[in-house]
Amino acid sequence: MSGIEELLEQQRVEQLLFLEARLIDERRFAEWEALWVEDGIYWVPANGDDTDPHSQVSLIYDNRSRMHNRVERYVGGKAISQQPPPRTVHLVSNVTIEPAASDGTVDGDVSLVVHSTVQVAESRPGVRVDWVGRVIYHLVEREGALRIVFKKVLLVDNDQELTTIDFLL
Amino acid sequence: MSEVGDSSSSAYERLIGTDRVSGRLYTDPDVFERELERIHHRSWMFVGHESEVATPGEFVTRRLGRQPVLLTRDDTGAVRLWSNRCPHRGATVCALDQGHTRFFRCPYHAWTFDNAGALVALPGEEGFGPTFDRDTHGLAPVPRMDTYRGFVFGSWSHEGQTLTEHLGNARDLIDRVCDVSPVGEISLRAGWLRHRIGANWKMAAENVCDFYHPPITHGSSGLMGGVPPGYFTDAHGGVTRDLGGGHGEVDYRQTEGGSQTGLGPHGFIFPNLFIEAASIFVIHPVSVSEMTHLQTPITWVGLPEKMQRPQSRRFAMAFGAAGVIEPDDAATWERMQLGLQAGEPEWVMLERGVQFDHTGEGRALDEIAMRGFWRHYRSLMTDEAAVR
Repeated sequence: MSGIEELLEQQRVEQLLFLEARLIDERRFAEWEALWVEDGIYWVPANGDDTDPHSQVSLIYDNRSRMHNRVERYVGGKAISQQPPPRTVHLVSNVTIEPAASDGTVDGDVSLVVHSTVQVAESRPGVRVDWVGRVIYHLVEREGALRIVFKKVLLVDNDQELTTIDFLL
Repeated sequence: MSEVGDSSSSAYERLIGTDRVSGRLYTDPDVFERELERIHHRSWMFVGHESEVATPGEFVTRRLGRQPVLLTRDDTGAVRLWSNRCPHRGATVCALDQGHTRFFRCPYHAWTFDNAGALVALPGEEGFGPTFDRDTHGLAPVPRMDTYRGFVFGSWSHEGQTLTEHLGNARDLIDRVCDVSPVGEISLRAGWLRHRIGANWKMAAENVCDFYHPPITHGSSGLMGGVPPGYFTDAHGGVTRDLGGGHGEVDYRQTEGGSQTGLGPHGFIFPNLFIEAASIFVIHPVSVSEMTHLQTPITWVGLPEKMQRPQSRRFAMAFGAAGVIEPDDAATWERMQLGLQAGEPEWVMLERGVQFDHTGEGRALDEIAMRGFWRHYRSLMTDEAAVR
């Protein structure tokens, strides 16, 4: 890959991450869901970064159906913890792209492993919390666009007592 | 001067009525300090499960009331419970949540203890003189520890009720959750989710046996979809039970189809343990307006995977700081904590089904177990307990 191609790829990946952050902060959840492939996994481990999600508790381990339930709940008008909804601002930084994943391709498409950092400012009545973590994405190209296959958020304090997380990280 | 004003036993008798309690019991820091002294630092409290320290050398750290403790399994296989505090200068001897070790070494002067609590090494021991006795400088055991079917309980009080006496009728809850397993055994090794909530610990305790709230508070969760119509009504046929000793349960076994929400019972063991069908919750008091809610899924030893899987999936969706059930409970309790800053009206009401109190058993949505909680609380916060 030439230097120019690398720059373009970096730009393309960053634009996806920035768009995802913006869609969350603007509560455009249907558009957020459209960034994902059907078999996507959104994972926020607890009690460390390298736990087994099938035998150890996680803060979030969502397949697409659960992601859908989660955001439906945010906008469904019944959730007490969304009255009023928490306001968030995501700051995305430190975006680096690993060369094609060791498993090469997914379904014949280009697969990228992207590392980034995120700081999420959360505000709700009487509460102001900053959430900070590293994020690992697996991205795949579908119909000419990058889509999210896997998103793992490694909160810096995931082994501590945490207040409610009723928003997307 | 306390908000309660008069901290005497008779003042508390006035604050805790049969069908109402004063809102100040959730907001007054002096009440919280008295609770620590008379409940959390005196009563039997659930601290952990033997399966969390399954093999010699395993340990977990916890709080028992406000005090740090260390649960170990020593090299002989015995489960032990210690103050997590160096007997020399007071630093915690273990900073990790869990792990495996033969020795705990204090970071300050390297006094080193084995997992049976004995002081086994210290630098420059000769400087302490010939009369220095290692045997009197070991880790301090929590004054009383006992177990029931793998559930480990501790008490900071050197005397008082035995664990068997404390559990009373609530032993049945532990029996029933264990007996879901063909070998009568559960395991808690999936780790804990620890949720900090800006509300008084008693709100979580009372909420266990409040079946009036789920269809409202949890209407957004999507998990209500699997519950039959009318499940959370008196007409469905469940009962709520005051088990005495502050313990209580909501029991759906006699209803058509039995419990839809899980395999085990749904009950509260005073003052900090909630057996939630397929999970274990622990309530840690932090301050008058803060608690930590700990949650872990149950694994039943020997139960076929296909019976466990729906339960672990439900846990993953529902609980912890980012679940679809727990945040709505937390938000409700935080709203209560805010609302109760209003001193008028004075009372928080607990009237539903009061006519059944003499039987110990009410309809599914009745507040009978909550009144049982308060009756026991009253006995501990006043001097009633002293004369029992």
